[in-house]
Amino acid sequence: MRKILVLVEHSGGVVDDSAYELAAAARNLGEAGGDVSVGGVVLGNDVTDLAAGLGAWFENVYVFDSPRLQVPDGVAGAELLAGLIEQEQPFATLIPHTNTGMDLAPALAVRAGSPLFADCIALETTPDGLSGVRTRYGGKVHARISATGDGGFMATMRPGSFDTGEAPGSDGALHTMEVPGDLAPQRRFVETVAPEPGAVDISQAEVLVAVGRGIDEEEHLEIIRSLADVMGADIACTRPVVDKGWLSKSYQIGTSGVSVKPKVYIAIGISGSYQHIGGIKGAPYIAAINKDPAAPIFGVADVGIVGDLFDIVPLLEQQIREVKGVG
Amino acid sequence: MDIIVCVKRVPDVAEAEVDIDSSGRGIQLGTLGYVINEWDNFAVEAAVSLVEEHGGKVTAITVGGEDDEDVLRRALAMGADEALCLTDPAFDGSDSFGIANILSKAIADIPYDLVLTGAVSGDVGGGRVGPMLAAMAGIPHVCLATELSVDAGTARVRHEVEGGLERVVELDLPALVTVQTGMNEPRYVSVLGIRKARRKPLTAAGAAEIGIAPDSVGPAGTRVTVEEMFLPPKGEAAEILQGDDEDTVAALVERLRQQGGV
Amino acid sequence: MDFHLTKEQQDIQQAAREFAAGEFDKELALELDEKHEFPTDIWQKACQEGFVGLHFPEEYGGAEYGVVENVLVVEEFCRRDSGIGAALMLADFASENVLRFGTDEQKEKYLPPVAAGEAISAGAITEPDHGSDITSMNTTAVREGDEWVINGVKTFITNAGLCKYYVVICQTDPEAGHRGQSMILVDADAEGIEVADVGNKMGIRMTATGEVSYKDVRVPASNLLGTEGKGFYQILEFFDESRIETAAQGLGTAQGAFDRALEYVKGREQFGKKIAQFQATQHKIADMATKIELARLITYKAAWNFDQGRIDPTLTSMAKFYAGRTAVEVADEAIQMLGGYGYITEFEVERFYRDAKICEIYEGTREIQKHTIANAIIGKLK
Ligand SMILES: Cc1cc2nc3c(=O)[nH]c(=O)nc-3n(C[C@H](O)[C@H](O)[C@H](O)COP(=O)(O)OP(=O)(O)OC[C@H]3O[C@@H](n4cnc5c(N)ncnc54)[C@H](O)[C@@H]3O)c2cc1C
Ligand SMILES: Cc1cc2nc3c(=O)[nH]c(=O)nc-3n(C[C@H](O)[C@H](O)[C@H](O)COP(=O)(O)OP(=O)(O)OC[C@H]3O[C@@H](n4cnc5c(N)ncnc54)[C@H](O)[C@@H]3O)c2cc1C
Ligand SMILES: Cc1cc2nc3c(=O)[nH]c(=O)nc-3n(C[C@H](O)[C@H](O)[C@H](O)COP(=O)(O)OP(=O)(O)OC[C@H]3O[C@@H](n4cnc5c(N)ncnc54)[C@H](O)[C@@H]3O)c2cc1C
Repeated sequence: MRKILVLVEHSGGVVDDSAYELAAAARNLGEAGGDVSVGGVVLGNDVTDLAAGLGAWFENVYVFDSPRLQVPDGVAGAELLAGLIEQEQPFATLIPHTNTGMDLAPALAVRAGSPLFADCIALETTPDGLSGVRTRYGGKVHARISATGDGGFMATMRPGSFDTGEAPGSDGALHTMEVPGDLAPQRRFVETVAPEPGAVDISQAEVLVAVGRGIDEEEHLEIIRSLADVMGADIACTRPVVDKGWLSKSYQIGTSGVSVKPKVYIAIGISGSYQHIGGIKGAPYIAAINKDPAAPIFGVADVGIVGDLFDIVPLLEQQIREVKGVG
Repeated sequence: MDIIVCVKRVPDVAEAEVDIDSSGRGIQLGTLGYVINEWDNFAVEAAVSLVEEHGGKVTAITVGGEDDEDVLRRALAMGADEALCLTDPAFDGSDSFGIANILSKAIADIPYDLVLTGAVSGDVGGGRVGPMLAAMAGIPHVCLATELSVDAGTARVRHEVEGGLERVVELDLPALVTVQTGMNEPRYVSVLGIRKARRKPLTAAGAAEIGIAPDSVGPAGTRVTVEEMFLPPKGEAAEILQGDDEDTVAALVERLRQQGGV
Repeated sequence: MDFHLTKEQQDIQQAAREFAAGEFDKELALELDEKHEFPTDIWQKACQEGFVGLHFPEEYGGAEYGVVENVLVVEEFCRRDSGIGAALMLADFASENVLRFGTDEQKEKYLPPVAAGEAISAGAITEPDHGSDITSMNTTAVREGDEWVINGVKTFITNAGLCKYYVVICQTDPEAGHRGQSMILVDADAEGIEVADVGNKMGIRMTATGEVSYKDVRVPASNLLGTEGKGFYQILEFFDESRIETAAQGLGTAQGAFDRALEYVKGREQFGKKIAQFQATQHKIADMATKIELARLITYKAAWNFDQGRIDPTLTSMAKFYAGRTAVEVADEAIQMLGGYGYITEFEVERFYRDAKICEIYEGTREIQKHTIANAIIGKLK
């Protein structure tokens, strides 16, 4: 029976959805439809209870519990997981493609000598190895990649790309693993920093008007603000807008920004990178305005206008004013 | 304070239509321009300004062909002191493990305190090269840095994690840091910078020079291969509103109204 | 034969492109154009990055590049914005006379501030009664002891009122016609200088254009630039270089108008089709692109030839005439392709058109260029 290891991410004592997604994806990696044994790996401080609660999802749960692992650390994590892989010889190790996963997986792949599939949106076994699908060129193309061999593969998996399914109801055994006292001393955690709070909490907003790099100049944000005003919506943005200092980080939607769950979301001058879309939870109605008909945002939106935002946005504001009977 | 910064050149697809080439495993590069990988531009700026502050030397390195030297000259013009182009027919077709392997052999001969790479690259990037290189070189790393300072053998790095949070860590030098966009404001390439770059050493080295077995890189050393590239399935794409601007906007307003957005 | 730019030249072109993309701003351009204001901030940044005076020697704050590099920068700047580009190109106008004919002291004093963004220069040739015909001047400079005393009026002077100094063509020997002209450096703050605006103008509205009157203006005898009596020949030599830059202005302006029109026709639909699908539009695109490429070839050739140390006034005039004409024709067609929108300021091509026209007027009108070309070709008729 094939063994698959899954890295379980968690924060604030709550297991991340990605753990269940990866656990489910792991079950599809059996040999010619055969069974697999999926092991969950939990790293952290005071996480033994959390790990014990995962038994229904995994045949085995390996927990590394130590104050040293208070926050994720790719260097320490790679050392511990390399030891576990050495011991368990899994067919594949699956890691969420999150910031934390990106910090860990490549270093681990080197230590474990594994071929690494990065940022997969699909993964399946082949007669002679493993094959996966990932996106390239900012989501404009997809690529199928493969590696051959008997095992020792590694993949980082894009959160949200795999269905969770039902817990298989296994009765996983908990293994408490040793954490060496002098683990990876060259990297030391200092502190966690939260972003400055914004004027509004966009995570609670029902209607969001989000703007991306297409806005081009800070002054142009006015047309977005003014549209949001008539709609009674809040504004939000992509990372480049924050990088340029035009809006503060608390307005950034995405995997390294705020997670939002609006009812209606309008993307203006946004290409639709998964790091941005990854911050949109629930199933909002998505409208996109972009001048590039090939922009990936149109692949996730419900409705789109291909056009120049500087033409469309003022017109949109004007028509909404008319509909609402204001000014 | 000697810094190595790894840079690569990528096709600029920001506003271009992308088509698959006849091999089915790449994209048509025909009319696309090339630019420095966005993340690497921030990494070069970080390297140059750290050396301006602490003294020392910046060496820019790329793995690629002769045309990729553009990106090295650019780094030199921004203020790097030396550049190294790792070029060899044997390197063609390397995957990220191969690229990291080549880089690790090359930097073994160069004294350094810090290695900077981009966090990812805009073309095919998966953000693997940096941490792989760190593991091969046996140095600590941290990914997605948004702030970086150096003091007495230690780098202090603020880096991005999930949920809009950032963390601060310290790394003993030598160390590797991957740089996230927005860390700084990359300077323009100045005319005088270009002129000075002319006199700075830009050397090329192949497999023999860096002491790497040709059959450990390129297709032979590749662990992950690209089978095919294809355009994303159109299945659930958005309804694209048709007509002139007045019509499309009216249709959009109607839909937003139905969805409770107006 | 090799039609390639060197790698270094490509780097400069790319650097200019990135600078213009990062700093030039459409709203600001529209505003400055409207208000007739010079883009001071952008000019200073451009100087910091070494784009102004890049053809000066290093000791005078330059990078020792030649006309080819200068042309590449002007082209990229004008392509991004015809108005800001022209203003930056003209910020060091006529300083090349100091470079070419000046003494070490003069170079020391007048060049580094131009490269550093501390001074703008100006060249005063045209007079109310002497435009195309500069073989004699009404402005005189009379030697009194250790000084020149200058009297006269120069008109249409770019950077008047903004500049730190003028290179003035004066008649030092009123009897000797063009053999009696000399170049004199006049600091802008000298007593007796008055500047009057020439009024509203069609294009290049971010540069000041003024009438400068000199009334008993006294400057040290050492301000003579070059050789007494050789002013006319010096200015013609200067034109051999500056007209290539004007050609580059035309080239960049044409390309910028073309870029905008091309993007528009690929997006705009009429009769259920993109207007780029109509053959009439396609032929326009082909014509425009071909003219631009020809303008580029002759401009680069003239620049390259100059940098080889050869002076060929015929080639220079051909480049200026052809690139200037191309700018006007292409910008005109660009407006046509945008239809009504082309006529509206917001869409920029009307400004490119207004900015293009000057390329056929200053530094010798189109007719004067043709005159030079034809004279050289026909030679002396018996
Ligand atoms: C580890 C990591 C974490 C990240 N986290 C985040 C995150 O949390 N949030 C986030 O947003 N990004 C994040 N990013 C960055 C992300 O990869 C993208 O670079 C970013 O989302 C792109 O933003 P954008 O869509 O605004 O810009 P671009 O991708 O540059 O797209 C701009 C779009 O605007 C269109 N456009 C341009 N002009 C006009 C016009 N006049 N009219 C109409 N359309 C126009 C263009 O066609 C283009 O599609 C992260 C990256 C990394 C590596
Ligand atoms: C000649 C050539 C042939 C290739 N053939 C293949 C192939 O057949 N299959 C395949 O999958 N990929 C191929 N690639 C792409 C190659 O895998 C990627 O360029 C690279 O490995 C990107 O890996 P990544 O996604 O982990 O890192 P990225 O996300 O791309 O890069 C992260 C950082 O690593 C550094 N870096 C990445 N690449 C280089 C480089 N070349 N030189 C210096 N620093 C670098 C940069 O600092 C960058 O910001 C080829 C590349 C080259 C140059
Ligand atoms: C915005 C602007 C900026 C300027 N900047 C400067 C500057 O910085 N310094 C400076 O010295 N000058 C400057 N000029 C002046 C410019 O160089 C002159 O306007 C130009 O040389 C033409 O002179 P003119 O206006 O007197 O026209 P004229 O010489 O009167 O010409 C009128 C018309 O007659 C034609 N013509 C004249 N002679 C002949 C002939 N022999 N054969 C056929 N046709 C002929 C001309 O081609 C033209 O079409 C500037 C002008 C403008 C509009």
